[in-house]
Amino acid sequence: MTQEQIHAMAQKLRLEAVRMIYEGKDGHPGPALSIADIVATLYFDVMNIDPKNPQWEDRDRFILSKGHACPILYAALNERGYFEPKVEHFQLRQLHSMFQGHPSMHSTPGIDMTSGSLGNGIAVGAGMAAAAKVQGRDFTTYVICGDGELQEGVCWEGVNMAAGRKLDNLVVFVDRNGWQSYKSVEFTVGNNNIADRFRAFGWHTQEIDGHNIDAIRSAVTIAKSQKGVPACIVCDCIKGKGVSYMENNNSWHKGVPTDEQYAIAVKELGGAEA
Amino acid sequence: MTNFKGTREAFAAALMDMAEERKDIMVLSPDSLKAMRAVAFGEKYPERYVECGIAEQCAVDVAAGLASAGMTPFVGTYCGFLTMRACEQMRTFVGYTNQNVKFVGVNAGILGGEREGVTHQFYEDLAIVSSFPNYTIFTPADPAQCYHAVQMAANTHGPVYIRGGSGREVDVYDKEAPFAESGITVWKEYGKEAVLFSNGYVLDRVLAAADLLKEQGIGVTVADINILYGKDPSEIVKVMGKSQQYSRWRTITSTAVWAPTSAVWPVSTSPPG
Repeated sequence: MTQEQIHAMAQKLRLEAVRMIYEGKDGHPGPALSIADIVATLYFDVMNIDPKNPQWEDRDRFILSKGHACPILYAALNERGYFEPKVEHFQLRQLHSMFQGHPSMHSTPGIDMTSGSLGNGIAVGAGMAAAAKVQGRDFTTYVICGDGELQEGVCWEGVNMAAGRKLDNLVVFVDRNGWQSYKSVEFTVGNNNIADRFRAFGWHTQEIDGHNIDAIRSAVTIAKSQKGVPACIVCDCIKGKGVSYMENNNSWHKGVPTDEQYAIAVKELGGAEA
Repeated sequence: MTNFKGTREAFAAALMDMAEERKDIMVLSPDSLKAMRAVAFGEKYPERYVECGIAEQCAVDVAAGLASAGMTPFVGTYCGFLTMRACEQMRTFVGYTNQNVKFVGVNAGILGGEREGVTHQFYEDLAIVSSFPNYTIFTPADPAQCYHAVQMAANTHGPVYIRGGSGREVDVYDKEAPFAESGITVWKEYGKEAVLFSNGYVLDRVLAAADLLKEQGIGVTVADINILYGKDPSEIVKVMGKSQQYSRWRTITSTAVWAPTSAVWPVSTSPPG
């Protein structure tokens, strides 16, 4: 896909994420919109996957460690063709829906690992990467973490282990949007020097614009070319990216647009006017 | 069968005896390789030994990732560091996801005694794991049973928690005796006045108690329950029926008291009085 096509897909995913939250009357729009460009680039350009065979042993793996951002992942899986027939109304967070409030690997085709309990994605991803090594498979495991999430201690246990094990088939994206549930990351822990920390643990670390498709693509290429070290791509992102009133407005960490707000979002994301 | 003395040595021996054939078996160590007596495994199969450092939550998460890709990881260390430090990882990333991860928690029960102190002596593990979804719990009664339990765990799909000891376990079973698939072994049938359900590394004492009771004219049945939440509890129910009164079931174990009984009650029509 061209950069323009991936960008258009990211906008489509954003629209779908907002729509499923609007229809389901619950969910986390800000965190989902923040990572739309990364998810679109992974699912529509980077990852070696087969939507018709979601359990394919050699597929690249993906873990959404910040699982509450799952509307964007559900939208990506839907557009990529994981669901037959294609889902029209997600019924996000509703009883008997396969789209739970946080990803569940036995509920939804294409979800490689249950997530949502913050902090665990890096270590679980390290396990998948270690499995590839011992099995002689060449799949890559991708993880997306939040910057607030990195306050969890187990993240750094996983970071430490992955470096020690030389897992160069593990790529961790950090969605550095600067916000978490209550306030900013800086307010919460004083600083957000994510890249310095990953470098200190021996990871190959890049810092990029998390909304620049070409930057994401080339960062992945560079990350995968590293030998003997896991790779971190710190992505500067805007929480709520793409919907004007949600951008950098942390009250949209979790929230449901009104009818009027939804109409504005649809218009801004390039959908048909409601 | 490789020779061994205690339950940890039995764990390591069981793995070594399977590892050549079973390429899916891995050992995850939160710096517990020495404590688990598995140094030989690490040396012989370095690619299948994953050292996570002193980080139990990480070890359980890594195991979940490995299992999701088709491996069969064993995570062994002191049982409290698994079931309490990494409690949520065991519940969410292995239990709810029904991953094929095996745990061996050692120093289970009070037998660690005065040597270890409160930080390394645990009786809560069974109560905790009993509340997790999808787990099968193996409670071997001696080192030989632990050996067979580890091998059965490798052939049981889904999460398995095996209780290991502290090195003070008494040999009771014949070394070749299988780990009972029925989940129960009847040891004594002195009478029908009560059934004593033993569980884990107290079996030798329960057998001695049955003999003492017999001398006092009280005939009891003694059964070792070696599997909690197994697939088929019918044999356990059958033994329960040998007691004349429901009030005369007793569980004798080295754990928080609600854990083993809660595993037995669901199979009866009414709980012990």
